[in-house]
Order: sequence, then structure tokens, then C-alpha cells
Amino acid sequence: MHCDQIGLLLSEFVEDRLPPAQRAEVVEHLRQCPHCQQDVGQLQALSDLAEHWIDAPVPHWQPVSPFPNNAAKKPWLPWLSLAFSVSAFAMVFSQANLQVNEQGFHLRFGQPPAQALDVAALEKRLDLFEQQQQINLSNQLAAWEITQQESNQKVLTTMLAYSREQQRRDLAQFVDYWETVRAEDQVQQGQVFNRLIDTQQQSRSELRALKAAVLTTTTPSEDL
Amino acid sequence: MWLLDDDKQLISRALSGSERAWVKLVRRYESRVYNLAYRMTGSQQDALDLMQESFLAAFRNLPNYRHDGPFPAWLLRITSHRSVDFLRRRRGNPLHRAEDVQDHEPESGSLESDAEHHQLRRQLLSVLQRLPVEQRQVVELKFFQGLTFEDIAGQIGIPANTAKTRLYAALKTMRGHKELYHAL
Repeated sequence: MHCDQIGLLLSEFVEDRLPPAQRAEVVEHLRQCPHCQQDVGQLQALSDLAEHWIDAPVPHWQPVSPFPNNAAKKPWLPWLSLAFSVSAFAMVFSQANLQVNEQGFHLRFGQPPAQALDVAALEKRLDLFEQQQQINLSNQLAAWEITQQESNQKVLTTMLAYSREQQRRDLAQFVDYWETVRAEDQVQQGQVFNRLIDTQQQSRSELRALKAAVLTTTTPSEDL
Repeated sequence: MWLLDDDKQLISRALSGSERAWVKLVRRYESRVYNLAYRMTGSQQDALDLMQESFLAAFRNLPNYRHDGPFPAWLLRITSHRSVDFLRRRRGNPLHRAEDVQDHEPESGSLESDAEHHQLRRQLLSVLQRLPVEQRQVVELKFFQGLTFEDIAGQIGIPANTAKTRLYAALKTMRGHKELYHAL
């Protein structure tokens, strides 16, 4: 056999998997063919290299997500939606009864069960209700009284302020009036005084004239 | 066996939409997939891209996985196929330089044996990068995946003799290079 035929058998020859007859032919060929000897050496080298290969460390990388959308990342999401839908239908068809009170809410499906009338409990609740109402009424009255007192206080304060202002205005008017009257009186008094002075002047002139007349009348007699 | 069962559970959960299960599978086999891709491409970045492609392809084909063989073997088969497609595409890229081998640099302070492994890996990658894609694929499957020629033939979809011919052609290609012997 020539090299190309032997070459196809070399790998199995190295692995010792050839039938004896073919193995003998390969051995015979190798004795006289340096190329094929080199190929055997390469096969053994490759085998050894593969055996001693130490995996290279994987660099940091981030796998691309093959999942198309968020729904695929959350497989429970459609189930949750379905569960809510089913619950909603169940509530509708079962006539769910939701009651909300001070203690919270109460969800009831169907009609509420008939309950026996408990007179004692009812009276107790009525008493409690009455007490509560009285307390509420007292509180409201107290609040109303406080409000009323505040209102009265405001009215009184307003009235006092108004009255004080009114008194101040009246006093001012009175003072004005008094000053006006006093001024008029002073004018009138001045006029009276002037007239009195004039009268006295006139009287004094008349007296001088009289004195002169008297003196004139009496003087000749004395001469006599 | 427990690992196989665990893979089964993870696959089942991944098919049901659990991304967490899928990521767990990816992290479990990323090293094997990456190293296959690294040997085929000789480049860290190309190996990462190829690994990304391979895992996406594996996920798309996950419903077709019949549990008739180990999951990692099925996964590496997909990676091998994708690597050939990847390299054929890359061959058409004028910016690619086929001779470049980008090996992981050993960290400073690493042991001498690490440096030796680094050197050995670099020489082997250099040899592999000189082979045509089809021959490189046969070398990978034969020596690193440990498949027989019949397995290789079944996996690639070629006759067993064609697989033998490709390996022999690879040997002839490597005759002129001494890196293999220097690596040992």
C-alpha cells in the first residue's frame, strides 16, 4: 500500500484498533516511510496535547437572555392573572357579600345565616347606644356653650369698643361746641364792655359838660 | 447519573420559561463550550461570540433535545456546527487576520506550570489555526472530544472515510510545522 492508503489507517494504528493484518502492513510501511513516521509522531503529539489540555478560564461574559419578554421571565404571572379572574367570577356567581364596619371588612358568600333574636344582648346594645348618645349630646352641649361664650365675648368686646368710640366722638363734639360758645361769649362780652366803655366815656363827657355849665352858672353870683 | 437527572430538571424548567434554570445550565457548561470555541477560533473575543451564538442556538433547539444522549455532548455538537458556520463567515471578512492567536495572558505571580500550560496552549492554537476549517473540526472532534470516525461521520453528516481523509490531510498540512513537537 502507498502512503495515502496507509495515512487513512494511521489514527486507528496509533489507537491500536486495527486488525492484525492491516497493522502488519502499516508497520511494514512505516519502516521505510519517514513521512508516515512523522505523521504517526504528529498523531501521538496531538493525542498527548489533547490529553494534557487545561481549559482556558472563561473571561467575564453575560449570557444573552433567550427569553423574549418579561412574561417569560415570570411564568407565574399568567397563572396569577388567571387565578384572580377565576376568583372574580366565583365572587360574582356566588353572590359575595362584602360588609365594611368599624372593625374592618367582612366578606360573605351567599345570604347571611338567620340568627336568633337575643333580647338581652339587644337591650345591652341599646343601653350602650343611649349612653353613647348622652355622652355625644353632653359633648355637643359643652361645645355649644363654649362657642356661645366665645360669641358673647366677641359681641361684648365689639359693643364696648363701639361705645368707647361713640363717647369719644361725643366728648369731642361737646368740647368743640363749648369752645365755640365760649368764643362767641367772649366776643359778645367784649362788645358789651366796649359799649359800656363808650357809655362811660359819654357819661364822663356829659358830666364834664355839666360841671362846666354849673361852674359857668355859679361864678357871677360869687362876684356879686 | 445525578448530574444527568439534574440536567433534565434544569432543561425541563428552562423549557417552562425559567431563565434561572437556563442560566444555571449555561454556567455549568460554559467552560467546555468556550474552550471548544477557543480552539476552533484561536481568539478570545471570537470564542465568546461563538459561545453566545451556540447557547442561543441550543436554547432554540432545546424542545428537540430527546435526552437520547448526554446534554453536554448535544451542546458541544451544536457548538461544533456553529463554529464551522462562524469560521466560514469570518473567512469572508477582509478585516480578519487568520494568523492571529490571542491567548490568555498568565496572571502575574502565577506558577511556572501555568506559564508552561500557557505556552503549550498557544503553540497548539497556532497549529490549529493553520488548518482549514473542516480539517480543524475533525481534529477537534477526534482528539479533544474523543469521538470515533463513525461518530464524527454521524455528527458532521459525512462518510467515515471522508473524516479519515480530512484528518490525514490535516497531518500532511502540519508536516512542515514543528510547533507540535516543540509543545511536547
